[in-house]
Amino acid sequence: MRSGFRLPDDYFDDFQQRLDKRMDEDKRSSQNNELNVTSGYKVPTDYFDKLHIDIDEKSSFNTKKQWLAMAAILVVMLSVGILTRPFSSETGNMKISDIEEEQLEQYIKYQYMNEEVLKSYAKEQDMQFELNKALRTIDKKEILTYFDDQLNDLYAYED
Amino acid sequence: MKCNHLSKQALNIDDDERLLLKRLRSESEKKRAFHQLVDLYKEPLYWHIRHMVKHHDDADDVLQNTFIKVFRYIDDFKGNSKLYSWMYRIATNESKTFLTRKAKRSKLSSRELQERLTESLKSDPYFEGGAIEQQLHKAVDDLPEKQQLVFRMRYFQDLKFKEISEILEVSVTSLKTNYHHAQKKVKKQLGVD
Repeated sequence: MRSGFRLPDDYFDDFQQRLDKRMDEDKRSSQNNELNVTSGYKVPTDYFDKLHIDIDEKSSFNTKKQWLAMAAILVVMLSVGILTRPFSSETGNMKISDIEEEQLEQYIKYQYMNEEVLKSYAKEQDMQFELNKALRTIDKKEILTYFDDQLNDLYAYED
Repeated sequence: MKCNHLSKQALNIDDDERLLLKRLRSESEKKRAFHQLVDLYKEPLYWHIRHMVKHHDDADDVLQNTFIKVFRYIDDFKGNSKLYSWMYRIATNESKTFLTRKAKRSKLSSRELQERLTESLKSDPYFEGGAIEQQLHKAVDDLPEKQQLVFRMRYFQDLKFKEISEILEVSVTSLKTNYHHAQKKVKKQLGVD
């Protein structure tokens, strides 16, 4: 049994040409469909080149800031250590009840002096100035002693 | 008369296909290789599409879309199947998409659209069948989708079960069963048990 379908005469003769034409038209229309309108936004010359540098600078600034904060904490801890040393040596095996309340408050206040508190107390430039001043006055030996003590504490808790 | 089928020339291309693919993927050769591909497959693909969409103008449109897709996606063809079966699948999908869109535009279900298309064959200048052919198409339309595909490919296009199996990615056994059921239903519809 036949399907009954038939083809127009010479249908396939020019099929390739028609297909090529259609593909060209499709290509052209897809190109035309692309909006040739820019957003209008502009960036300063070499913005993206400089952006890289800015990021580098910023990241190094951040690192510097972190170091400053760490140094600040170190200074505070050392100061506390220096301030409390005479008190400790004098008192020997003193009990906590022997310490005056005022002294205890002072001590606790120093203990709460963290990076954030320091930042809130001083502007960055002030803090840097203070730190530089403090770092100049700190004796190398004091720093070494401090770290020695810290290490000793650390080993003391080991099995 | 069976319609123009997938020719032997087109089928025995295992080695030629590899070469053709290579050329299709080369920028300098692509256009010429594509022309060769179109020459090889335009007729079998046309008849595959025509039996699905029924009218010549629609078949022409879908055939062109099929080749445009082939050209566009040839680089994505991984060679896991034969090139002709890949193109048949594209042609099948394009035909289905075309029919779905047409049904939506006409606000008809796909079943109603099929009925209308078959009915309108009477006035189609490129349909020279009589009432019995029209009845045959109507009987095929009544089959489940898979059986329709298998029946058309086997009966009208004279494709081998192995070839249909590669195109539809279904086992030969399953195809034979599908065809057997389809044939039985069509015969019943036509009253030729």
